[in-house]
This record gives sequence, structure tokens and C-alpha cells, in this order.
Amino acid sequence: MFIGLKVKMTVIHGDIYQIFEIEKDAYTQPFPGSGNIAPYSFAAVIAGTSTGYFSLTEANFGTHNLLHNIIISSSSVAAAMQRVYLIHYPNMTVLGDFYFRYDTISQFFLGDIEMDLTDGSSIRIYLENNSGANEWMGGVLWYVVP
Amino acid sequence: MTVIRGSIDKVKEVLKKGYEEPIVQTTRGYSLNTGALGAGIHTYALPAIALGTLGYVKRFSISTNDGTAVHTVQLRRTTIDGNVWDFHVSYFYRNYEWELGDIPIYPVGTWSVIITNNAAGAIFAVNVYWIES
Repeated sequence: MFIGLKVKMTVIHGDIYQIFEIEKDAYTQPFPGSGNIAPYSFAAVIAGTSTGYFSLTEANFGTHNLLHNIIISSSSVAAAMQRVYLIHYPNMTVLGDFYFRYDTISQFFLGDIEMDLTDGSSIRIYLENNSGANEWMGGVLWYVVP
Repeated sequence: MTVIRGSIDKVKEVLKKGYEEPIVQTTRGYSLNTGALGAGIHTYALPAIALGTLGYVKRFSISTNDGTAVHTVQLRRTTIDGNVWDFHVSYFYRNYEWELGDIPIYPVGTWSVIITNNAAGAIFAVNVYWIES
């Protein structure tokens, strides 16, 4: 009978770099950022020079997930910059605030901030349309499930 | 391959237990919207990072509602003994994002963002994210 031997290598980041071999039955639990990436899609027509928002709640976000990045676009080709910002509601903590235009980058990273919405709080995605005309605005908020 | 990030005592503890607790890092963010600024140099301290928590500054982004001018941004750390470290100076147009490569927050000091606005009335949105360890 063949008995497999599992060997894991550990790299230590810190004051000293060392490599250890963990004994054969040891295991490492999933590390934040190594889980699945889940999407939250949103889109709406926002009236000229006004702001609308979407709410991401525990029902679709789950618990203790990490905010990863947001991809955003709008139908406007006007000179004015469009804006997207994220608020932890009702705490009103600003999680990210970004201006963009059709000819600029439109993916912004959110730093893998751990969020807990089990207290009934939500993440509000505000879409600020500055074009002066009615515009489609939408995108995807990606989050990591550890 | 497994990466354990932290002090040597923490790594020894993980090796002794044989596994690592799932949440070992907390990322925090700081977001600032300047409001309309006049042309010229504007400096903003980053209060949360100034608390001196051990960790790593991870990512930085800046964008503006001005769609025409090229602006300048500078990320600066001033240590408690007065040394100034300029980590990044860059021109940017409309928006900009930079991976900071996990710069250690230590030694304790203050972090600030210095914006040179080349269009009067422009608004800037600044985002900084860092890992606590």
C-alpha cells in the first residue's frame, strides 16, 4: 500500500525570512483573498445632473466578505467627469470615491476591505451623473468570499 | 505554497498550531473628497495611517472631476524624527491608480497626499488602502 506524504512549504514575510516544513498532517486554512470572487451587478438610467444609488445588503453579499474592485461605465461621451462612490450605510464611512469618463480607466480597486453587513447595514453604490442629460450608468462590484 | 505574514512570534504560533486562522489581515481604507480647490499646492494628512499601526500601505488612487488639465500628486511619509520620505510623485490626467508594493507603515509618522492642482476649481477624490498586521 502506498502512503502519500504531503509536504507544505511556508514562506515567512517579516523581519526574518525563513522556510519551514510543516509536519505532514498540518494544514493551512484558506487565506483572505484566496476565495471565490462574486459579482454584484447594477445599472440604471440616471437623470441629468443627479445621483442615484444601489444597496448591497447581507442577503446578496453574505457575511464577512472582502470588497475587491468595481468596474463602472456610463453612456455619456460628454466632457464632464462622471463619479461613483461607495458608502457603508448608515455609518456613512466612505469606502471609495472615483471620477471616470468614457475615455479613462474605469476599474478601481477597493483594497479587500472586510465588510460585515449582519447588523443590517448596507453598501450603497452612488452613481453621480454630471453630463446634463439622462444617461445609462452601471457596472459590477466584485467581492471576495474567503 | 503558503505565505504567513507577520512577526516571527506570530509565525511560530502558526507553526505550533499547524494551521493559520482564516482572517489574519485586516485591510483598511481612507477616502477623501477635497471639494473644489484653487490652483496650486494642497496638502492633506491621512489621519488613520498616522495612528502608527504596524502594517503595509497597499494601494493608492486619485481622480478628479477636471477633464482637461494634467495634475501632480505626491505621497509623503514624515517620521516622528522629522525624516521625509517621498514614495511617489506622479503626473496624472483625469484618474490614476498605483500599487504601492506593501510599503511598511513603520516607523511611525504621518502620511500625507500633496496635490498640485493645475485647474482652478477642480475636485479630487483620493483613496488609500493599507493592511493591518
